Amino acid sequence: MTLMESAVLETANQEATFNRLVDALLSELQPNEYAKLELTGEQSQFIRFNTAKVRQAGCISDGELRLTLMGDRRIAYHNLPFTGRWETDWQQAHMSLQVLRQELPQLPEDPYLVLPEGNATSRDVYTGRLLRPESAAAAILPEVMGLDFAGIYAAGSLIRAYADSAGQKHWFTTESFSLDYSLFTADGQAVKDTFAGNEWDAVSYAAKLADSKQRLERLSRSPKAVPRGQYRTYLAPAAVAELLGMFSWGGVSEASLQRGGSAFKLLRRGEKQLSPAFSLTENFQRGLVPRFNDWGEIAPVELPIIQAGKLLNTLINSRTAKEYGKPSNGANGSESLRSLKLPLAICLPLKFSRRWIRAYIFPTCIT
Amino acid sequence: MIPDLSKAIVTLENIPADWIGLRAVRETVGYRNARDGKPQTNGTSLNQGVMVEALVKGQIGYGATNAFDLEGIQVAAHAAYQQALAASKWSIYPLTPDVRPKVVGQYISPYIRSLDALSPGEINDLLIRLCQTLQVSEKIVQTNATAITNETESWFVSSNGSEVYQKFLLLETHYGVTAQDGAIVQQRSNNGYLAHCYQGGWELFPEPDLWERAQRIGEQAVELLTAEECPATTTTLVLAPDQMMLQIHESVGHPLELDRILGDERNYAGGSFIKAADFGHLSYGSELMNITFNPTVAGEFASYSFDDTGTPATREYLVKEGILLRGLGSLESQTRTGVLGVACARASSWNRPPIDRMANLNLEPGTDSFEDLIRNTESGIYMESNRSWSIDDQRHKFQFGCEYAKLIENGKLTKTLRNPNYRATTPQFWHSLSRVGNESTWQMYGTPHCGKGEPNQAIRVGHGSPVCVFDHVEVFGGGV
Repeated sequence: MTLMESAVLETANQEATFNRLVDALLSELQPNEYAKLELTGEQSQFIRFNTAKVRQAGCISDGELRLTLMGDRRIAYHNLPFTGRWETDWQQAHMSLQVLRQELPQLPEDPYLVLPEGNATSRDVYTGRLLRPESAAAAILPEVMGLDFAGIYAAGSLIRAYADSAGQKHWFTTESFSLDYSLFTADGQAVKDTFAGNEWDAVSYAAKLADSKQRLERLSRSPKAVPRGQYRTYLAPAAVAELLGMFSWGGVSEASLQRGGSAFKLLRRGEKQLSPAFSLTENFQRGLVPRFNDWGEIAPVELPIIQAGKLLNTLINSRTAKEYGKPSNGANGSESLRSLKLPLAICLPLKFSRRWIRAYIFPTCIT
Repeated sequence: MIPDLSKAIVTLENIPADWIGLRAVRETVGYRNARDGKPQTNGTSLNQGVMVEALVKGQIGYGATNAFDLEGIQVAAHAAYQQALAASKWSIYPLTPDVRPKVVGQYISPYIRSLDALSPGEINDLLIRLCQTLQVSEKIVQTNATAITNETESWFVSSNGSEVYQKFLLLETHYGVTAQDGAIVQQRSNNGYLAHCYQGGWELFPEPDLWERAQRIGEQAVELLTAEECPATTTTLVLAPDQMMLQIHESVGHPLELDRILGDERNYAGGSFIKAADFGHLSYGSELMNITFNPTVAGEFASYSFDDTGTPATREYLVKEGILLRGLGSLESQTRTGVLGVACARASSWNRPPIDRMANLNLEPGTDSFEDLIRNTESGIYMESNRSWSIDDQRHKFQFGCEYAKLIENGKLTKTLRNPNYRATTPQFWHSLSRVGNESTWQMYGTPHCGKGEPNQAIRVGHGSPVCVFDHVEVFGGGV
């Protein structure tokens, strides 16, 4: 049995193991104790490519459980391995609870502690049709033979789950793949693109590559020297994605704006505005990422952040809400964008992330 | 653990691989952070697992599992074998077991006070008091203090008899402030974000001058609010070791990674302006430039005796008297390029394959005291503590920013300047190195956040440097 095949079987057991751990741990809590459990896991394969050859290939089976204990206005967490095997995981989790109980009284009070509340539950399972791990390279490389092709193929199942002592519970799994690649010209210019989704389709893959090859051909033509100056500039979706990623570096976080850490303070103060052609929305409609956050809260399906160049909403999580007296809108712990979208969606890059999955949808932009 | 892994290797004899290695890692981390005098994060982590490497028909396959037992290892080993076998038809270069020579040994970080010498309560007390000390003015809108302990053990066992045990004790600390006056915002910290990263125990923190330093950091942040903007000009640039750390890392370390030169990293981290043919003769910088790969410095953040493939680690000159001699490349990359390398095949944890990484990369000291360096600068700018960085994918053209600067006029430090930045190209910059501070100016720092690789790997590195002087550098302020 291969690791991935074993993983499929184990994945089927992981939800049961997680549920059993939740029940067992929460039943151990004292009346003045509160707890939450957050699970991240992956059964994945990766192949790294360079010059249309394989540099490295492997499989990873990993999982981590975070147990957070709260009580007497104090909070601490412990991360422990999650293997999906009840005996191993329960022993570790039970030990973690004891360690946290010893630590909690030593800590100072946290005035912004957010205790679990609410009754939100969800269960989203997105199955896919992925390449068999041992045949992935053979499915990918023939299309790029003779090209200077570099990048990474990653595929497998991801788990995100949450449960707390208030009774909230969420389970999210998705099987997906992502081929993030570059095709290079002889002088090192790159066509960069991503082919991603839940179901590998050879015809779509060939079409994607055909488009990339066409762009590579255009890029290979003799460049025209452009003098320094101001130009109307066309940015491809991949470039827009890079730019918008910076909005998550504290940009539209309420906490960062409050503490001088955001670059958009003048936008917030109304002293500046972005182009009226620019609007940005947090949008979970496609269901590619979990809507629940670090407190089990469900984010609104759609939240406009920037509308016609003006800052309309910031991302506010429950902790920030408590500290600054603002209403929470279900943002995650770091108040970063998880599923942002610009109008005119034409591209969907999906990337794997260690703790959270993010999906971004971008059009081509002109600046 | 070594006997357990050795037994596991024996059970894998039915796998028809040319070589098999097991690398087990157990990492215990404590993360504590206070903001504005209140606890923000109190967390601990246990992360453990095993990476199996299988060499089959010239290709290494990887199988990683966090099931820390024989059954988990066996499943991972079969996955590694299958991956290697499938990939061998498309292999970029046929490898032999020579890239995994037999080695036996161990390494333990030097330390005095163990990482559990302070209780969670005592650490919180320190961090909260730090925040209070940093809060020197109502213009300080945020104070923060962080302490991270990390005890990492690794075990490496292979089918050709390797047995390596290494134990790392790591302490990372940070504190800083944000000051604001209207639309002006300035940050000041203890030598840049999380720059105080060392091997050792609680003897490293608190330092004897901690409270004095914290007070000064708060005051300097407020001072920056009314300081003059750094002028836009070309002048003599004097860099403190806490900025030289970033300068060495980005413009020497990354471009000399052989896997970047081979193109492995082009889709993500980028390539390099250096070519394999450049080693041995290229003039990288002025004759004062001496860069060593040195994993033997006691207490430096990325010291070790063996890399993650078991290669014994030694001090080597990468650049000597300005001439490029050697790359940052593992035995695999050395085989592929024919270029001399170092023991730098490193993985961020058990769940990632080793790739070419920096470890400790240091600039060797020169002859001048700090006072002499300043006294001999008629006109220039002295910059401290990295704040921002941007460099192209070939590691050629860069623009870096610092937290704090002083104008140098007639051999003296005078006005404070805010938003100090400078830009150059790597060869031009290192050739403009005109004076190098002596041992008394040499300081070492580190970071746990060197990012590279697909899947992404963040890894720890250490950098030591004296104060350095660079001639004719383009500097500018925040408005340019």
